[in-house]
Formats: sequence, C-alpha cells, structure tokens
Amino acid sequence: MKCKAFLVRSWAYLSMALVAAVILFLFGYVFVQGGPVITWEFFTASPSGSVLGSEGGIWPAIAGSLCFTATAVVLGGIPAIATALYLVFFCQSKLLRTVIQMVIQNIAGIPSIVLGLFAYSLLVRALGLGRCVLSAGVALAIMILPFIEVRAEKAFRELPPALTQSAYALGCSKSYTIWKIVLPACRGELVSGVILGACYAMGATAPLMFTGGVAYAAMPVSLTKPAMALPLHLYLLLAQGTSIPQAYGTAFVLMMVVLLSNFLAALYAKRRNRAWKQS
Amino acid sequence: MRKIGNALFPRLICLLTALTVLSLAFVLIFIVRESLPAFQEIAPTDFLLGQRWMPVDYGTGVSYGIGNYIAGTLYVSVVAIVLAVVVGVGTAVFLSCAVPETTRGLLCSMIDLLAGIPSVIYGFIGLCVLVPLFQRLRLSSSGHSVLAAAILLAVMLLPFLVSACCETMLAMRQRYLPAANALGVAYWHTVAHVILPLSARNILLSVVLAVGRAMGETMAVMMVMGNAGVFPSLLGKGETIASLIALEMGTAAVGSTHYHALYAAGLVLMGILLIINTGIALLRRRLLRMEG
Amino acid sequence: METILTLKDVTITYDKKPALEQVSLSFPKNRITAVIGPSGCGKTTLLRAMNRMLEEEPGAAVEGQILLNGDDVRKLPSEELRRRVGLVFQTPAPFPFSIYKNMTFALRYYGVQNQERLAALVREKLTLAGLYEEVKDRLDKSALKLSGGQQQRLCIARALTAEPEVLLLDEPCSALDIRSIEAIEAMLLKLKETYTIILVTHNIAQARRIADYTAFFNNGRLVEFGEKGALFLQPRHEETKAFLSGVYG
Repeated sequence: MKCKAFLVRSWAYLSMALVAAVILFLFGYVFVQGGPVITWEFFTASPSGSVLGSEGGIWPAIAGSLCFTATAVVLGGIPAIATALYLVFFCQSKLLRTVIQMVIQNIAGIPSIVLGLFAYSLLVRALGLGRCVLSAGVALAIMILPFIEVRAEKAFRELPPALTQSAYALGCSKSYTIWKIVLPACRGELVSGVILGACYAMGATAPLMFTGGVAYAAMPVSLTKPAMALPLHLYLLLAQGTSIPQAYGTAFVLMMVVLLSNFLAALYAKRRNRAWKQS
Repeated sequence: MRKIGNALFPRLICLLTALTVLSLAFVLIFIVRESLPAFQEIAPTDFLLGQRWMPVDYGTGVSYGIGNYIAGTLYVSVVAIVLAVVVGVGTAVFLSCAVPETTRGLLCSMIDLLAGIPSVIYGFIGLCVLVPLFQRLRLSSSGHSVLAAAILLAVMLLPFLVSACCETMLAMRQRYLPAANALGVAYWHTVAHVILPLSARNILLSVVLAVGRAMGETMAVMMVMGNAGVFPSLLGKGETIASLIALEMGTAAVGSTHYHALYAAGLVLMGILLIINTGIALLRRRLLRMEG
Repeated sequence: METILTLKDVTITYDKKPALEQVSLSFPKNRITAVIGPSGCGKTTLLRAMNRMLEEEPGAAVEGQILLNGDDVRKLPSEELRRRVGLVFQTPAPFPFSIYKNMTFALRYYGVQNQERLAALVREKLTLAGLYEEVKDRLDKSALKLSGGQQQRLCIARALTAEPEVLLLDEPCSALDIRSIEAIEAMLLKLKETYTIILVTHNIAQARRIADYTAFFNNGRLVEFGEKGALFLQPRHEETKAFLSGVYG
C-alpha cells in the first residue's frame, strides 16, 4: 500500500523536474545560440548575401509579421469581442447560446493548415485577391477568433451584475452601458486576451504558407501584396539550408516576442484585478 | 445622436456575431467545394485506404491514396498523447498536491509559456537537437522519425494537459482531503488512492481533447518526421495529412486532380476532428449526468 | 392623499410559480412608504416590477396594471420609466470611476454637456444626500475608496441625478453600520419633500421611525396597508400581528 504512495510521489517530482528542465532548455538554447547573432543590423537590414538570407537582417520579416498580426487582430478580435458581448448581454435563447458556443469550439478545432486552404480557395482564388497580407490575415483572424472570444466572454461574465443593473436603473440603454461601463471595466482582460491572440498569430506558419507569406518581399508592406513573416522565414532558412546562425537569430526574436507578450498580458490582467479587489 | 447609437449598436453586434458563425459555414463550404471534384475521379475507398500517393506520373501511373497519411497522423498523435499523459499527469499531481499556492502560480505561468512557443520553433529545436541525437544514438539512420515528432508534439500538448488535470485534481483535493485527514490517512496515500483515481474521468476528457489538438499540428511535426509517405513506424519515417498539404500545395496546379485531392485530404482531417469533437461533447454530457 | 404610483391586480409569476398575487396598492406622493414582510414574500419582486427591471429576468411574467401618474408603465419606453422611477440596490454598486464621474454618468447620457451645469447638479444632489461636505475635496478620487455607508449615499445621490419622481430603495441599509443608517434615514426624511420614497426594509424599527405609510406583505399578497403608527400599534390582521411580534420573518 505504501509503495503506491511512494511511486506516485516520485513520479510527480520526476515529471515536474523533467518539465522544468525542458522549459529552461528550450528558452536557454535559443537565447544562447541566437544571442550572438542579434545586432542592430540584424533588426534593421534586409536579407542579403550570395544566397539570399544567409546574411543581413530580418527587418522585412519583422515588418511583415507585424502587418499579418495587425490584420488578424482587427479582423478576428472585433467579431470575437462582439460575439462575446452578444452571448452575455443580448442573447435570450439558451439554444442559440449553446449553438454559438459549439460553433466557436469547432472553429477552434480547425487545423491551421485547413484555414490556409480555405483562405486560398476563397480569397486568393475566388475573390481574386491573390497572395497578399489580407488573404493570410483572414486565415489568421479565424484562427485567433475563438481564443479571444473565450477570454472576452469570461471577462464579461465575471463583471458584477450590480454594475450593469445600476446603469439600467438610471435609465441608460444597454448599448450605452456596454460602451461606457462594461468595456472600460473589462479593458485589462480584453487587452490581455488580444495581446495573447496576437502572439499566437505571430507564431503561426501554416496559414500563411500559400496565402500571403513569401520567401522574399520588398518593403514597404501593403495589404494587397504578399509579405515576409518571421516564422515562415525561419522555416525557409532551415528547409533550404541557407543559414543556421540567421535561423537562430530569427528564433531568438520570436521567443522574445512570446516572452514579452505573455509578460504584458499578465501585467494588464493584473491591473484590472486591482480595481475590483478594492470594492 | 444617442438614439442612433442605441439602435445601431445592437444590430452591429448581431451582425458581427452572425459573421462569426458564418465563418465556420464558409470554411466547410469552400473546403467541400474544392474537394468534391477529387471524389469524382477517385473512389472514396481508394482515397481513404489506398497506400500509394503518387500525384505525378513517373511511369507507374497516378494514384491518390492517403491511407498512410491517415495512419501517420493517428500514430504520431497517439504516441505523443501517451508521452504527454505520463509526464503531464505527474506534473499535474505535483502542482496540485506538492506545492503551496504561490509556487503553483509561478510554475503554472512557466508552463503556460510552453503554449505560446510557435510550432516552428519546436520544429527548429527538434531539428537541431533531437534529430542529431537520434542519429548519434543510432536510433534512426537520418534521425528523422515518428518518435522525434511525437516527443515534440508531447511537449506542445503538455501545457494544456497539465492545466486541465491540475484544475481537476485541485478540486478533488479540496473536496476529499479534509475527510481523509480526519481519518488519519497519510497525505500521499490520499493522493495516490483517492485524488488520482477520482480525477481519471476528467483526465480522460482532456486527453481526448488533446488528441484533436495534436492532429491539427503542422510545422513541428513536418520538420522532424521525415516526410516519407510510408506506413509509419516508431523509429522510422512517416508523414501526416497536415504535412502532406503543406508540402505539396505549392506545387499542385490549380484545378488539377492533385489540387482537389489535397483539399479532400484536408476535408478528411476535418472529418476525423469533427468525430472526435462530437465524441467529447457526448462523453462530457454523459460524465456530467453520471456525477448527477 | 395624492397618489403617484398605483398597482391594480398585479400578479407576477416566475416560470408559472406565483411570486406576487393580486396586489392592488396606491403609493402616496411625497411620502415615505415602507414595505415590510418576511424574506421571500415578494418585496424585491414588487420593486423590480415597478421600474420594469423584471423583464430582464427570463421566465418572469407580469399581469395587471401599474400606473405611474396615470401612465401605464408598459406603454412607456423603459428608459423613460427608469428615469422617472429610480432604484437603489441593497449592496452599494458605485461605478469604478471617480465620485464626480459616477454622478455625471446619467447626466451625460441625458445630454447635459455644460461643465458648470454638471458641477452644479453634482453639488446639489450630493448635498441632498448629505454627502457633499464629506467628499467635496475628493470628487476626482475613486468612488470605490469610500466607506460602505458613503458608497450607498453616493448611489442614492446618483439615482437622484436622473430627477426621478419616485425613488425605490431595496433594503438600502442592510449592509451598513448604525452611523450610516442614521445618516441615510435623515436624508430620506428630507428627500420626501421633493420625491416619493418607497422603501423595502426588513428592519421593522426603521419602518416605525421614518415611514408615513407601511405596507405589509406575506406570501406574495398584500396583507395590510396602514398610516404611520397605525399598523404597528393596532394591526388589523392576525398575520401582521404574528409578524410584528416576531413569530416569523
């Protein structure tokens, strides 16, 4: 009998140790290998060298990633927050609420490569937009929509109902209350959710591959043209064996983005908590 | 002015919500639309079970069988789940039962970082670390293998599994620990014999959910699995449906059978995931009903 | 006695289960009417029906007529009704803004833009609520930092900014200390000069202290309605007698 307890305990400690080691290794490895490559030039220059990408910098990829992400956040974040508002404040029918929530869960389950296929078929082909930031942005937007919606819904539900009720009792309309009370009160959680969603979009490769991401594109980036992206750049550097140091540098930048986003998101979420704990 | 806002705003919200719901419909419609032509030329059974995928005629004819890719997708996902469960549940036990709340919060944030790391980076590290390691250990000739991909996938699934299991175990602990303590039972004995078994149901649910997530992964798996359209074996190469699509979409001529077959493969992938998702929903409902 | 709010045969059900049955009652203008009764007798439901906040709850059905100054409340736009009939909740719920912004929230909604006018109105309502002297130096500080009693007085002042005709209060003092209760009761006595006050309270002594009229509810029915001390000194119904002597409730 005591044996099992001991085994479970050891198993728990070992697992945690393994996980901790893996986390430290992942970040450590990228930072140690990629650190030396990071220079100001790396950030601001374009890829160059005899084989394009073996030297120079990754600035176009950074700019491209920012554009893809911004498009995704606008196209995906707004419907996500709107859907959350609908479910919490406007939806009367329980059936409809269940259906919409199931739809969102299913959207979350769509593999990112399939989203790329969809965007290719609809935007690149049917609508004739061709490979561009907008086409890829739509695929990314659908990818991050459930992510943001779930967080937004949680934030809205956790709002004390007394707050909205007080506003209604004063004669204010639901729209006004949402705009002036609900959204500002949930701002921390919403921003945090959007930041994490953006981070998720920035790291995605599959949806971009044939909808808007390319190996080399000129600056500046525009919605109707294709662009470079950090994760795609990393993949191509490896797949084509162009340059390992450049790859490490790109990976470093991506990891930094992940760490920074998570940090910022946690910070914003905490800010909102403070306001509530006072009451 | 306010009146216009009051009238417009709810309508706008409804419109955007409808857009969200419609997006799922659109995705389904377009994928199906591009897949159908494939099924006019290829018999479904040949497509699903056929083990030969040869879109270009090299003299032996053309065939579109994704049987090996379905097998590859399932195989790597299952192995990844097994690995993830072994380590993940153990970690969840540690987090819920061995540390105080503040440490738990810190460790959980650390583990959540894993969820944010892009798939490419996992593939990258797999390529730079795991693959040479496998080579050196003579586990596989080129280092690329299903096992390497499964290990990467397992790490990617860890944060989701750990947080779900941890939540369940914390709830179980809160519910049953006081009673067990009152009976004078040793702490880890309670963990091993009460908390863990009782959490099994929810762990199963999280596992099924994780399978869905594993099957949708593209990049990391693609970079270390070898990408050979053969029937997968643990230390050998294999290929997933996602990798197939990612690698061949660039070279498939638009409107060709190859093109439509790739969409059909995507449809099959979505179909498998839909079955899993529905299965989870039903399972969850049955479990909730059992708990009363 | 001039009446301002009248209920005629009002029956309210939640998912077919009755919460209020055949209530007919007229609330006198510019007076304080206390509504007393044991928990669950329908007091809060009554209030929420009067400003139509009950509609927000699924499964609630209201039959009968509620008239505000002769107007059927169901025919009025709900926003106008809620402007004319204000409601203050049991637990103080100030918005997470500054005191000043809490007070100007409704005013801005109704279109008051002029800064001086806003400031004057804020000062006027805060004075009415007996809160101005205490907060005049920190109007721009967060309302969440006030004490419970101050927050509740702020909520009442905030309700007044809509210039209601009737003010409904749902057990406003239940979570407060004695000082705050005294302050609020003093305020209500002054407010009745301008507004009609309907006060739900589980504190019989409070009803005795400040109410001009008292309505006793039990099990969803109006049992007795009396003037000033009449209900307390000479209750006409057995149920009222039992409630007042503490048999239940």
